[in-house]
Amino acid sequence: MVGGSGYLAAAVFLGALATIASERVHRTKVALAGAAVVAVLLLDVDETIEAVDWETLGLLTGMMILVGLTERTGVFTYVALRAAQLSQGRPLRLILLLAGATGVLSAFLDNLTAILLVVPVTLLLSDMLRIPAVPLVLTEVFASNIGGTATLIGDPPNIMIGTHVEELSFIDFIVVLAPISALVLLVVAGLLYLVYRGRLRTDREAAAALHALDPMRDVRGRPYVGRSLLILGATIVGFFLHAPLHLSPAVVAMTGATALLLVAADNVEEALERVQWATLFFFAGLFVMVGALQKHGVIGEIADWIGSLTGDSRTIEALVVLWGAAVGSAVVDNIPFTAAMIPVVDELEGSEFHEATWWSLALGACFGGNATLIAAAANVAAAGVLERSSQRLRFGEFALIGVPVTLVSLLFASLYVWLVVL
Amino acid sequence: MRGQPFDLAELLVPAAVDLSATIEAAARELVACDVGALAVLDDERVRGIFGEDDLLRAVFPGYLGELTHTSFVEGDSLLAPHLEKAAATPVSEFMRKAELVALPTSALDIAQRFMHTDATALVATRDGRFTGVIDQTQFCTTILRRYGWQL
Repeated sequence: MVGGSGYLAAAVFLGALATIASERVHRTKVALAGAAVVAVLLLDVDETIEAVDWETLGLLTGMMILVGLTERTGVFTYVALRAAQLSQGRPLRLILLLAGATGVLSAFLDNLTAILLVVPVTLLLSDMLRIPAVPLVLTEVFASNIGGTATLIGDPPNIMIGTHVEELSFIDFIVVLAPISALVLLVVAGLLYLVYRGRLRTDREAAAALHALDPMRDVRGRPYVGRSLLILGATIVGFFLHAPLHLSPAVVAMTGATALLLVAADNVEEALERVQWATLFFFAGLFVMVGALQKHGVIGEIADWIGSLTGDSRTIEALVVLWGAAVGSAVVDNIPFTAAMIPVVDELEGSEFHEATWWSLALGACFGGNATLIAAAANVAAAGVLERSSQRLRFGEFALIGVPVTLVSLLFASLYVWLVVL
Repeated sequence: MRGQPFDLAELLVPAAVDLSATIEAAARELVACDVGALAVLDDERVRGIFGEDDLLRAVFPGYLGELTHTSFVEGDSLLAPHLEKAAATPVSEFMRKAELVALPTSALDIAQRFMHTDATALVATRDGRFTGVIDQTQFCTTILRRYGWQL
């Protein structure tokens, strides 16, 4: 039974979720304030420290350094630009290639970084092609959330699940989640083409101007291109091998980041400025709040409630987790929602290990991130870039296409979980 | 080395535009006053500051600030539509929070304000009312000339 402390922990967490969703206060401030309340009233020092998932923070930090340093080489801009050139200004090709490039970058960097890299290039492209930017940016946002689903490092929910569940390796994520992500990406790209094809027609002159650009110009002669790509590539290989090598993904990421700092960073302080401290503190605050929920029995209550809904059926349990995670992520933000759901799935599992429930959580949280503007960090970041370029991506406009995209994705995911994963 | 007595009043430039002024009008005022920034006023109340860097943000595509590399872009054909749009945009959309300095104060205080902020111009007020803009370059050159530097 949940007592007074449990109700207080739940009230703090729900209050934090509501405040984050309202976007009135920076989410890091909210998470830290919530963490401070539960640390003072509901947890002792050891419990507070233990509640933080240091693996997740290590993996995030390592990837921030790796991607931040590699970004300077211009290769990511090259990829986005080259994809647009290959489209020759044709709407279907443009959507498919931008979605594909963003999806792959998201899978192997992380989707938030991928969005921050490709959206500014896309705004430039839309200017050159004289077409509206919003349809292209929405394509990239959806592609980043779907592409990020494919790997352990692609999307924050996967990072949290992957670092928490030792039984699931980087290769497991790719083997199970990459096929469905690729399929859903293709379907969603087709849907977006049908919706936006009329707005993406370009004239020959504009397409020729785009084709005339030399995307290699910024890469040539830049220092550390080879070293940066080599170490980033080696780190990705390291992720593939982390299970047989008995190394956690966080250790792989931090080793790669350290190697890159050693050989490709002239100024270590400048290089470390690429670490997004606000994001790391946001995660830390969330983990502490969830630790209080766990300690005071709230997580157990939720797991019992879900268990009573699903009975003994693993299929129903997986589908409830899938759709519940998607709805929860759409309403609040998939990062805090996943942070809270991980211990719930732990409780549901009990002493048995059922992969399908974890895959359902990953698919639900990641695909649910496409439903609304506030559902995933990448969406908010894209809207921010647009706003700084005097363009607006409204909540309603996003949801109008985001909700159908999410429903289609979830239908495919449900069939996949039911027919293939279970 | 001793300098001449220094009077802050000689640095104050009454460079200001109304809150509803367009970017084009503000650009004209910047050139006319030969300063790096203008105070943005609403009935003599300081509402913000609009400087050369704000003018840059207003007339060039905003995404340039987000791109890490741009040397692959040739020519300036993309600029025309942005200039056209910016010309009629109110200055209030691109102004920033003004760094206010209450008079009377010292040259050292002014220097400290420039060092501790990104501002290239300060808005001076006396009894809460706008008095003038202190431009960083003019401030430096005036001080140095007072101390005998031949600039």
